[in-house]
Amino acid sequence: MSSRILLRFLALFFTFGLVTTACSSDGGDDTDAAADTSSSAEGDSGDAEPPDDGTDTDGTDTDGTDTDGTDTDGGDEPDAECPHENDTVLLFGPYEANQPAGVNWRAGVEHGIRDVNESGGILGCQIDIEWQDTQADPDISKQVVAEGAELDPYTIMGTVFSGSTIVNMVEAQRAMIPQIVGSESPAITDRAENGDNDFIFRTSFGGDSGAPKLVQFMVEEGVEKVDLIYKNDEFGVGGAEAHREAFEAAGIAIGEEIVVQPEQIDLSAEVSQLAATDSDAVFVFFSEIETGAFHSEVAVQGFEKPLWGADPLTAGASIELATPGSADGARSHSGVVADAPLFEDWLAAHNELHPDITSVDHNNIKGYIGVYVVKEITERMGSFDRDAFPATLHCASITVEDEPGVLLDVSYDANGDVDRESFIVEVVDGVATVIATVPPLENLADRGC
Amino acid sequence: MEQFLQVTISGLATGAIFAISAVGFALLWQTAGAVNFAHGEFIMVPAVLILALGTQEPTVGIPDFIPLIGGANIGVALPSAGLPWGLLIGFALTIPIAIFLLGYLFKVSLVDRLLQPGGDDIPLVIATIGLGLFLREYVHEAWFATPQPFPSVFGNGFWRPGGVAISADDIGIIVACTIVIGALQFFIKRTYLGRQMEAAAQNAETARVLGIPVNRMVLLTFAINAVLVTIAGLLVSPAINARWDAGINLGLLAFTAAIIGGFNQVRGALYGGFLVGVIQNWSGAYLSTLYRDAGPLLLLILVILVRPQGLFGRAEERRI
Repeated sequence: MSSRILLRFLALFFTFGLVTTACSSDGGDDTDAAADTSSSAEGDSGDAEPPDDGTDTDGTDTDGTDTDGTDTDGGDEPDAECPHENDTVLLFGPYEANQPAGVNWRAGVEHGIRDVNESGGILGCQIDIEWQDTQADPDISKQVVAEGAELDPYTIMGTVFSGSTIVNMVEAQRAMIPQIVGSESPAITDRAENGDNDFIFRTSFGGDSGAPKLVQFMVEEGVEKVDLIYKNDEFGVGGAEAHREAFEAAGIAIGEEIVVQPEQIDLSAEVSQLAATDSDAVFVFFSEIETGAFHSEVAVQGFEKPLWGADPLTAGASIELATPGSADGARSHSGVVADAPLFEDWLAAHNELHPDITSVDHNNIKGYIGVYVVKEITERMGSFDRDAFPATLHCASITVEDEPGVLLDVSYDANGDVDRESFIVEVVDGVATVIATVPPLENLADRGC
Repeated sequence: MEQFLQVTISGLATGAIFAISAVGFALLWQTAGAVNFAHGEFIMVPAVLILALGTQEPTVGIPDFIPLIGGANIGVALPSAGLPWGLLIGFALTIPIAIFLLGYLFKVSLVDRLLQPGGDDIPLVIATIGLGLFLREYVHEAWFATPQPFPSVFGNGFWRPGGVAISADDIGIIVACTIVIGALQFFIKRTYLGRQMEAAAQNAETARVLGIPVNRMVLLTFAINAVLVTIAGLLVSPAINARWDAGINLGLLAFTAAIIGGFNQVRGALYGGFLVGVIQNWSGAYLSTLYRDAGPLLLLILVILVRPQGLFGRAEERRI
């Protein structure tokens, strides 16, 4: 066979592949399967949604107290005429397609959109979303959000990585588009650092909100001295700083501080350093990839100090990437926990929608909640008013009774940070298990409200 | 002392990952005079194929648009104990595919067209950079975008002799890497076929005059390289996961290791890989973790300044 024929074969092969991917509604992309509630940049063709007939499609929720997120009845929503073209309101979703956190966030948002659309949408409008991959690269994410803003979306749903959000939120702010993010770095909602950004909102705790809750629990557990190991990016440095302050305030001494590079594969030197200190616990602040490697190395070195951290330490995606069993015993403070009994029904519905995602975690729930926050606030305003959106959401409280889709009662402070009940989680037999519930801080008066 | 040993042994294990990855650079240069900047992706692609063909856990299937198999997952479940047969079956199935795609097709479609005897290397360098980018995006779009856990062929066991922890995977990869590179070195230097390959790369015209089937030798080189990258994919992926972008860092560090060890010596990849791994760990442990990658890069600069042929390479002269 001549090389020319081979080249043509190769070209045809890949061209066929790319065309098939583009035309396929469930092929290739790991988040596409069964999740096509909307059209997307990857060529989803806008699956037909079931018409809103005002009926309860699952027949399970008749009293408005459904907290599992499967409430599809929408019978008590006001009948409204959608002011948008094609009766559809557009959202824009920048996300990290190469990171478990980003993929899970997208799956959660898609689940929320599916449920909202099935219950009649928002003010009579079906939700459509345009997704774009930021590759977890801050510069690319900035460009993606700038381009997304040109589409004139109602809100921007993402990103999750703090290093990206801190950069791309400027574009959303410039375009005056509310941005709902899954990021946790304190700087994101710090008005001194974010250019007095009115348009940024979290769906779970920032590092500074979550830190006092975790540290209080650690004090009760008798921790007196702690080592810190964290990732050298916005998420890691910001989170470590917030927890450092909380440790100092609570009287917990800080021992060794170790910084690792993003996606560092070999953590043996760092773990052996931690093993050599006299601290009685280690605080870990990584994303999922580093956390998985860290758990594995800790198991190999027989490291016995208790591990404490934020959501990623006990997230399903981290556990999946770690050596089986190595994450057991790790404890974290988590805003939301997919494996908690409270979310059992939600998780079942999510697994049905996204059977391809094997490690559902807090990011899925955060994405889901984000959609319902947008819905509730829009309905409170009675219109799709982006300008009024920040003022309406700042210092607002949304209860499950108001909107079951928020899953837990939540309050927003004047900066876009949330306050609500949260959980202390321990990994038991490879599953994140709630061992304690932490009440809300209820300090909105101290936070600008 | 315990910590020093721990850091050094772990560095050797990481170094073995770089060494097995670097050997392809050295092989292609030593026996075909080619530089392949898609080498990291050449390791990533077989890892993805092994996962798709050999296991059902995690759930990576054949992409829908491979027309002949049409989206079927023909994977074999990985047994929970004993030999990881699923993984080994995936490995065995991947080898012929890799030889065809990453060996034969790569040679006839790019190398033969762009690399002329005595000609400029730059077109091939640029083309392989483009090929690497294409392979990354192809896997990203067609297969998966998130890291997939990759089981170790050596299992998850570990020991702690004298308080120094070492895993079965660490030992396995160090031993396997040493055996593979040693065997390759022996093949090239001590066998008739290997010397023919080297002769064909050093002077194709003279080799032809001497009756060496040059084209066949070069093809054999690319086939061996395809097998090597498949072995590398099997060995390194448990540490770095199967990821569409795994080739970027891996390729860069492997290239660094190959240059430090000696680009024209297969054994140089072994020594270079171990050096990079150990220095990386020492830098992280005794300077600062922020200087982890700086140590090997500093060594690279020193080697290029003082001994450009690499620590274990031999000086070459080129007719201009």
